[in-house]
Amino acid sequence: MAVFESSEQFQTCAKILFDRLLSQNPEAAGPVEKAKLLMQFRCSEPSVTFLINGRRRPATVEFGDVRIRPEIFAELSTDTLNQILLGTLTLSKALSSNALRVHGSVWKVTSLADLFQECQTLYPEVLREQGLLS
Amino acid sequence: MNSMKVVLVTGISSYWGARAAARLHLEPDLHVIGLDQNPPCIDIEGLDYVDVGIENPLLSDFLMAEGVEVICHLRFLESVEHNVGISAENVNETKAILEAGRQVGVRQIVLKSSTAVYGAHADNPALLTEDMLLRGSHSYGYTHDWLEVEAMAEAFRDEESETSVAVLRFANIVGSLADTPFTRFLNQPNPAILLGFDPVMQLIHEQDVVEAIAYAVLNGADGPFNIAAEGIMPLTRMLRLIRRLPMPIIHPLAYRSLIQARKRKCGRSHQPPLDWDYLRFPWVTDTSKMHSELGFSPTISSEEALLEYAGRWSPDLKESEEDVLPPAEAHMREIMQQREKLRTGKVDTGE
Amino acid sequence: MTEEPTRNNQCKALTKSGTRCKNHARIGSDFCRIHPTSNEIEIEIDGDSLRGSDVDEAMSDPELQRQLIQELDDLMVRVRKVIPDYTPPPYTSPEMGITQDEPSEEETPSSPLSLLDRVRGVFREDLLDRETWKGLWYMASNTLEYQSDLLKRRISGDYEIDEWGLDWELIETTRPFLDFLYNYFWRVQCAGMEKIPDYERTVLVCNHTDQPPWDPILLMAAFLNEHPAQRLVRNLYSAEIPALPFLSSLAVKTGQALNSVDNGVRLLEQEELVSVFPEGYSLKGRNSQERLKVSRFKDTGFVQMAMETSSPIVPVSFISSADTLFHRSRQAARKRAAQFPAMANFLQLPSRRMGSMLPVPSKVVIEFGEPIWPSELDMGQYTELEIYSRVADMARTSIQDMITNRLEQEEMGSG
Repeated sequence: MAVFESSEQFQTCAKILFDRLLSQNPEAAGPVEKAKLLMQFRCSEPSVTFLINGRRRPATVEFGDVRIRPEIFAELSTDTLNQILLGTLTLSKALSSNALRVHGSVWKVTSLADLFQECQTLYPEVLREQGLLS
Repeated sequence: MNSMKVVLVTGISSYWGARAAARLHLEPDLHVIGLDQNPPCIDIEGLDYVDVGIENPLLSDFLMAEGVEVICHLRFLESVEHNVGISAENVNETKAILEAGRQVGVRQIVLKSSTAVYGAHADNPALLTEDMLLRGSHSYGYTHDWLEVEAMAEAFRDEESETSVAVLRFANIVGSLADTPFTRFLNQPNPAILLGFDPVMQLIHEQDVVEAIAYAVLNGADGPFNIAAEGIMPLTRMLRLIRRLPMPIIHPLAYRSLIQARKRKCGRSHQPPLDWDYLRFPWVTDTSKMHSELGFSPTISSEEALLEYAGRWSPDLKESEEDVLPPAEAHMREIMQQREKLRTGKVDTGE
Repeated sequence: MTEEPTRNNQCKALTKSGTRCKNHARIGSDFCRIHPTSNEIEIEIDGDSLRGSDVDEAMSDPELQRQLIQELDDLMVRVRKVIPDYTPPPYTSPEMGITQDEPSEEETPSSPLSLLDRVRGVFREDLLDRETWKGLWYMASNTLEYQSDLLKRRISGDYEIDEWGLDWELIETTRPFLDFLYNYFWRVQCAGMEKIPDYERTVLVCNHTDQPPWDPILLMAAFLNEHPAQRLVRNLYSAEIPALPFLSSLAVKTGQALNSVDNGVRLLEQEELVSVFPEGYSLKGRNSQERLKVSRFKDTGFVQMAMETSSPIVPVSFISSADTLFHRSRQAARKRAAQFPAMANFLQLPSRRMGSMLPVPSKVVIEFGEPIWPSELDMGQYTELEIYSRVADMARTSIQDMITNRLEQEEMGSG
């Protein structure tokens, strides 16, 4: 029972979310820029890849398979990401149930905390607009 | 008088000559004549073997009489250090072949050489192309002779424009059956390497060597070609793949020991099989000419070649990769076949 | 199992005779100094007493957690009453009134405050959650698995290198060391990194600081840490390196190549970032005045590379605030060192001690200048060699200008 039927659907949702986030609240990306984070998320079912690039000013989220080598590599299913963003699944639970696997310089993940909190506040609205939230 | 192309293969008492002759003998439209003073080391059925030395003065008459079109000169005596007698023999034989070829007017001459002729020097570029200067190593027996051979071939090519002279420069040859400098190096229980140096090297499998020679003969290749398998590897990786622990030696000591060994004229077993320079500096060649002009691609990659040498891989595995089933499935398939047989058997007997 | 009425802060343990212990409980604990708080605790929950491992189970009950947190909040309130000017942290519930019992005289107020602070800080909701600990454990075990798998693969030879000998796993393994050098040892500051494109071929021309062997490493660390696309810089090293034991293989494995025009052209055609240090290693004994002058470029091959592949030349200036530790001056030692010329030159011998090979911590500023496009320059009337030397001169003056400008800025800023 996947929430998103196609990768394009998820991609549009994610794009809207990040655009809104960065325009409304650019300080949320502050810690990401300070840590010079390069983190790639590889989601499956449907498969979407995106890279959070904290080295550009302002920080960007790039979709698709870019040729940049990331510092941290996260693998998870799109449903897991959905749940994390909605707040129903905590990060620790996701890690413990092996739904989320992280490789690389893992200590840099803490810089994402602020960003994810902001995302959590904006995400339900985005979903509602797309008609995906019950 | 048949329309078959006549190929003369010299050196069939040695490994490479015999293998190449056997491979070429399989071709239906080739008539292979094997020439050497000793019989072939591999039993080849139906091979036309001639018990003659190369430096026979009437060689060109023989070639003329047989109508030889391609000469594949694979006779080469190996010596680790510069041995005047062996060197002279190699050079003179090659000279004789070339001379005979010129007199008869053969269409193609194929010579087997090595990428070691470029020499391993500190200022080698990352990829050596065929047109680069051949510097070799004049103290090291092998390359000295090959340098002479290459020089003669080059001169021959300049003079006789109608004869194609193909010089195949092979990278380090490995294989479970072959006996080459590199396999002798790998055969050591703890191969001696230089401390702190880890050059990247190329390899080629013995099967591909034979295939390359056959390909050159069949396709009338002309010019020097670097022949190496896909995938270069650092030396330590190679040793790890074949599960051998290297023994690093500090390089000044290593060089000194080599000089001492040569001074005292130690036998082959006491000398390192590869000159130390070749384990220290890069000598990687560019194989793009092999792919584009010659059109030959080795089928076995460097990793596979090493594993085959170590006995952990076999070329047959490659062909039947799709057919190999995991054991459980194979067992089930067997059972199903048996039961099918029983069923059909029952039907037969039933009727 | 209580027979007498109990006080609020009475120790909850049982004495040997089975009665409730009459001592005051320690602040932040339910037991007095005598009774231990380890496995032998017995606590009272709704009339049942639990001990040992049952306590752990009981602790995972959310109701109990809330009770615990509540008790801690109460404690905070009581402390506040004792010390009026203490402002509780925001997570306490100040509206809860509590009866004040006789304050404990055993410990002074300030230490229980800090202790309480810390205890309260530790008892966040998600830390009591077993899942957090499981999650951390999984992460640790995944990392361990990854590392051991890496080790296994390296030992069995199951890793890949590219055609230049580059070994990414080696770079990733030495990354923490590079980051340390970059961030803490040399405190590098980069400016103008945006001028380098993400994927296209570029030639970087750099000057040397006083510690020549470490400059390419700094540059590589700078790109790995700062550049948006985390590009790998392919340095071209001089011909002295392949003769040295460990550096030759290390240089090749980090993707560097020998300094020749062929190599450079081939790398650029593969859209790599190539860096050259044309000044060379043999810097004459520099004193402080000459330190920041860019020497004559020995080798103008980089211009040829750039022109053959029509790639831009970006001048890069390195400014370091440290001198070498020791100067090179001795003539006799130089003669001795000439027996091992490559080693001597590389190690910047002769000097009484090991010269500039030792890294000296300092502040380094790397600045990227405007790219020069040699194919766009109007050089028709010159011969090839003249073009090369002219463009090399342009690059050199550009680097020198950048250094001078930056120094003036610093002077003006500090002066």
